[in-house]
Amino acid sequence: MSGVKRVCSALIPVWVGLGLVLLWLVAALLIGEELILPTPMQTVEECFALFGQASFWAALGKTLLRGVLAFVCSLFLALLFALLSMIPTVGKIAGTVFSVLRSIPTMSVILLLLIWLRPSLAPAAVAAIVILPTLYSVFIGAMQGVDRGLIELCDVYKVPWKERIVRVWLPAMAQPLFEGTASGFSLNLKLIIAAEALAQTKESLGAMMKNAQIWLETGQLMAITLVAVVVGVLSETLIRFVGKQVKKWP
Amino acid sequence: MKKVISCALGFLCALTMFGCSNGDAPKKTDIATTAPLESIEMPESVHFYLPDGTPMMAISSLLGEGIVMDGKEIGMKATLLNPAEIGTAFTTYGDCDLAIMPTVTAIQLMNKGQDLSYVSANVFGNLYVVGVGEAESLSDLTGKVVYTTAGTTIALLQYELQANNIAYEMGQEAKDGVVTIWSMSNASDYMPLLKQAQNKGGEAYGVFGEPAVTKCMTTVATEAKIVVDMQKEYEKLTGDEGYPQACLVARGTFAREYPEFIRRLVELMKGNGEYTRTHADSLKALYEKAGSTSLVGIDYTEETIARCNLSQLTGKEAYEAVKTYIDRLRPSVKALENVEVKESFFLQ
Repeated sequence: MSGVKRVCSALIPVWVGLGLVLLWLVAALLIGEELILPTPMQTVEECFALFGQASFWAALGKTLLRGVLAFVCSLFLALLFALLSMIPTVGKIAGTVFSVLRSIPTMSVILLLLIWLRPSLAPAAVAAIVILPTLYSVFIGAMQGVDRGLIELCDVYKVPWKERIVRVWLPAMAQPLFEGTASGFSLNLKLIIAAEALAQTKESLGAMMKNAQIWLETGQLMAITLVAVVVGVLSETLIRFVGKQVKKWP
Repeated sequence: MKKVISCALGFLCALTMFGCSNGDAPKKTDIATTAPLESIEMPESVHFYLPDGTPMMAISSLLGEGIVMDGKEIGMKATLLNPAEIGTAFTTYGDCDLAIMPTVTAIQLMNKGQDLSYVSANVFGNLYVVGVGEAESLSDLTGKVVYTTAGTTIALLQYELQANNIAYEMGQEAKDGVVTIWSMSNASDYMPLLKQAQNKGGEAYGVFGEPAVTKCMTTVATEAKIVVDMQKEYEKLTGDEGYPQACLVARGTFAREYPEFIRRLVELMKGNGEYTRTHADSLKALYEKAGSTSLVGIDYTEETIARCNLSQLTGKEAYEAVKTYIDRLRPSVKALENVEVKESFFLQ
């Protein structure tokens, strides 16, 4: 691809972002009511106001911490179940259980866990439970995508397991795995914030959003939303970047 | 003889007229003025927006008897909104003429430049700390967890604790020496916790608004009692009998177009408190017909209605009380930091 085309291609996300902001600005100007929809400029001003508050950074940090912990737990459990699913019977049982888990309405999971657990734990548990089936499917799909011929070749030439994992399994699974993980992490964060809002979890972005809505601070609500979007996009980008680097391993 | 009979007839006439007069009881439905209705601009109909609960009780008389002025009935519609929506009622619904909303919300909206008029204050505090346990006062709540909802409820609790030099902090675990405030989305989230405490012989305390207080104590946790009357606490601290918790707000254009209607409506609503007291038996059916879900299934006793603190101050009369109220809540609510209570907000 020529240099110009490459640059244009890289700038597409920027143009799309600018387009969305323009759409937002037009909508805000047409509505003409900051209480309903603040303009992008008003929202950015609110963002800077938030950045000056220690409580905001505490809430952001704790929400991210919950997100990471919940995601890591889901990741390991999903990997464990995916590996165990290589045994056909276990695979069928796990498949059925996860199918049921996937079908439970997310709101039911949130509301039930809020009854069973403390507000500080419930959001992380919600995210872990909802994301787990998704990650399990990603792992299963990635494992099934590995070339069977290569696996047989490894068996024939008695390749050590360490070599098989590093040179056959990981490179083949990297792309779908990191792709699934990237979108899974964004969804995980959204769920955490939704559950925090309902649970009124202390020091959380969700509770800040709920309070902003109660006190008619739509600007602040939009600012926190913008921060959550940026964090989500950056996380996805980072995970995909790491995935690309892993793919380059010899 | 003729003179005696004339005097006796005159006396009987006077006696009859005196006996027939209504005294203090307000005229139920009809507001007359010296000017005939035909010469005054009046709306054909009026649309109220309000959240379910005590705000609906603030217009019980209007729901029960309609709005009749000079013998002419003015159409009335009441639309219930989710409490979270009431702040945007005037912007979202073009046909919203009047709304019953928290005073704090009304003042915030006016500070945000919304063209609204504070017509009257109609609910003067209905919040109570209800609990199962040994606590009998605000200071007894030290070392305990108190459940509350967000918004004005928690702000008022924090104000009363602070003003009484009682330490508090947000959390979920009881801690020695402080009142732990646990904020939840709805009172219905923590009402069952009082029942659980009752069943296990434990303790639980929560802030509820009437008539949810009655519902809690009569149907959910029958051993629960009122631990703190937050209105009386407020009175001790400010000297004001209650606080202007909820109010009637008019769209600015509506208030300017129909000032006489607004004036007469305020007069009409003066009888609301008396109406709820004298029609307690029929309130349940009235609210059900109006579409309420939170006000049905409650027996409206004299105590319940009294605890709702339904009364009225006109906009002009309420100005100082609202100013005091907002000033008291300000330290606990960042959103009220730069909010002003201007006399121009209040209908004079």
